[in-house]
Amino acid sequence: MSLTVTDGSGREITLDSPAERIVCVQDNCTDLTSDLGIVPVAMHRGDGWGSFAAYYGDAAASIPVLGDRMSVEEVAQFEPDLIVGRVGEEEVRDALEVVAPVYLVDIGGVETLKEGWVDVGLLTGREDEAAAAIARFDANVGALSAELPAGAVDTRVAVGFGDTNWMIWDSSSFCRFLHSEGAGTCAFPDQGASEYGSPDSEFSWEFILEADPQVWVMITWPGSARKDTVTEEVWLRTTAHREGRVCEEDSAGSFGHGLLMLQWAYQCYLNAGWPDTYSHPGDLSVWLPGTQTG
Amino acid sequence: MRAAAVVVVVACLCAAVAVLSLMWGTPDLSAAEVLNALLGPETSEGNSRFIVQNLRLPRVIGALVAGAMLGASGAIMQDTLRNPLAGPELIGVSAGASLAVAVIVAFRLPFTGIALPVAALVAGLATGTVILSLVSLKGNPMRMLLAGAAFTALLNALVIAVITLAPNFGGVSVIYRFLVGSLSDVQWEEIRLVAPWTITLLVVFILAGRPLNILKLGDEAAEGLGVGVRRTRAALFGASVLLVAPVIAIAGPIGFIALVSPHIVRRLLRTSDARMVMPLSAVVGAILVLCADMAARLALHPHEIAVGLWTVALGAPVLLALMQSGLLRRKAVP
Repeated sequence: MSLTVTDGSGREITLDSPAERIVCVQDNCTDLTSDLGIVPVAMHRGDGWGSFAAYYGDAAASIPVLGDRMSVEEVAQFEPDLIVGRVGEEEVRDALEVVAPVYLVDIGGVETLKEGWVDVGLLTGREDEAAAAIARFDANVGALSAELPAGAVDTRVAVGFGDTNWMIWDSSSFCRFLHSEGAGTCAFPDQGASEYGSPDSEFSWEFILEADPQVWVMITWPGSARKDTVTEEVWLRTTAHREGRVCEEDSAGSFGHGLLMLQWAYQCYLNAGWPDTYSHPGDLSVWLPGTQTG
Repeated sequence: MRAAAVVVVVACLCAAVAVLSLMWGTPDLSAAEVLNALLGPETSEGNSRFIVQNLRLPRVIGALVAGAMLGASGAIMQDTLRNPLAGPELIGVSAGASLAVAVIVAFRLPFTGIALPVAALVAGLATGTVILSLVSLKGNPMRMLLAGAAFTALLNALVIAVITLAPNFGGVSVIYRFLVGSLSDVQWEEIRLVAPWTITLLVVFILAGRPLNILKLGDEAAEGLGVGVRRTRAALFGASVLLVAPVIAIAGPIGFIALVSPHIVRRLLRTSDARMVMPLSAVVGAILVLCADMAARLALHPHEIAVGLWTVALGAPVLLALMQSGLLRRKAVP
């Protein structure tokens, strides 16, 4: 019996039997595959956070890493029967679908992420693992949100890159997630379209002062400013920085792109926003299957 | 009489645009509030004082300096090379600075804060010097133009190669913003970096007018008048490098200002006398960059659009209008 799903881009994918050799061409795939108990036969590695060992344990050492500009031949040599990418990079799908069916996960929101988990679970014969991962996510997030103080939804939130004025919009998946959980409201409005199709862009420094965020999620990367090394005067003057309500998220381009990354970002935000209530240890492994706290 | 009137009007316009730049933003301020924020006693209420003193004023000064240096540089390049389309992009400074920024960002080299524009400045000066030493400074200026264009094309290709091959995708937005040209991060630190180089501008205003006018007569005539063509052209070329490199270091290669400003001025003055065209090109360049930067800050507020996009948007129609009017043919340097 064939397995048919519709991926995040709306394209139908059919496999004759459950896929066993998975190639990941996007960082968010670490979340997906480890949640489903899959060790990919090859993985792309870009600016995502977390070591492969944290996700895959001893098996991590044997996972080949694809280059940033992987070629069709490079992917084909691993003989995948399913390739997993993400919506927004359809050109990768168009190039690689001669090798194997390509499933694109829609990272635009929690529900679309869950759909990705369910679909890939079906395509790999791991429906139960997918359901369990989603249940873990819901339980963890529910437990965290239950502790939120009254009025938390009105908290002004900034999510941006280092101490620059490059900010994530209120329409982003993470901001919408925060708002739907009643945990805060991102202060940087949607600008329609950005240069890279991502929900972020450069904002006026004056507007950052006016917005005066109360909690600041600072996405960091190697070489970027950290919460203890902020030099930009505008940020130093914000309520968030003055009160020390700053979360440092070392995730760069993969921020909130998977269910695990989303949980981690949420916890980081809550730790910074309400340190008396939340004191998560901040270790990636606590979110992984078998070590769950929720 | 006409020249004096033009100078007064252009100078007043420049001052008016600068004041408006200090007034408009988040929040909008009155002229009195701006004055109070600049000169009044410090109060703990609001951010107006900080915004005017630390965000708007350095940015306005940055725009003035960048526009002035680019405008003057354009006038020098067009007269030195006897080509109405010559500009500082042909002397390799912007391409060299861009390559340095691309390498630093893409490979995550430890240049943060002011170290990045300093590195861009050094790279821009270095490539400008290399091109200066490579091109034949005597003989047909077209050879200089072509050599500069070839070297710049090579450096631009290297920039693309670095972006393509580098492992760091995350820095693309930084490289992109630098390549387009932006004043959004110009603060007092950047102004302190660029300030000493404005002396070049004064020296050029005082010394370059006469030799530029003589060079326009042709190499043989210039030699006959006792001007060492090779030495003079090298000095003017070098002055352009010194004018442009610091601007590019803090703001990236802001396009069209150097090209358009001298043409606007020649049209306003109805003369191509370099002693008039060069300083007034600096003022017109400053006005254009100030206007473009206001558009960058305010047009899609609170979103920032790189100033380089606006200078092209403003400059291209102006250039087309000048071409349409035949100005480039009539008023081009002989």
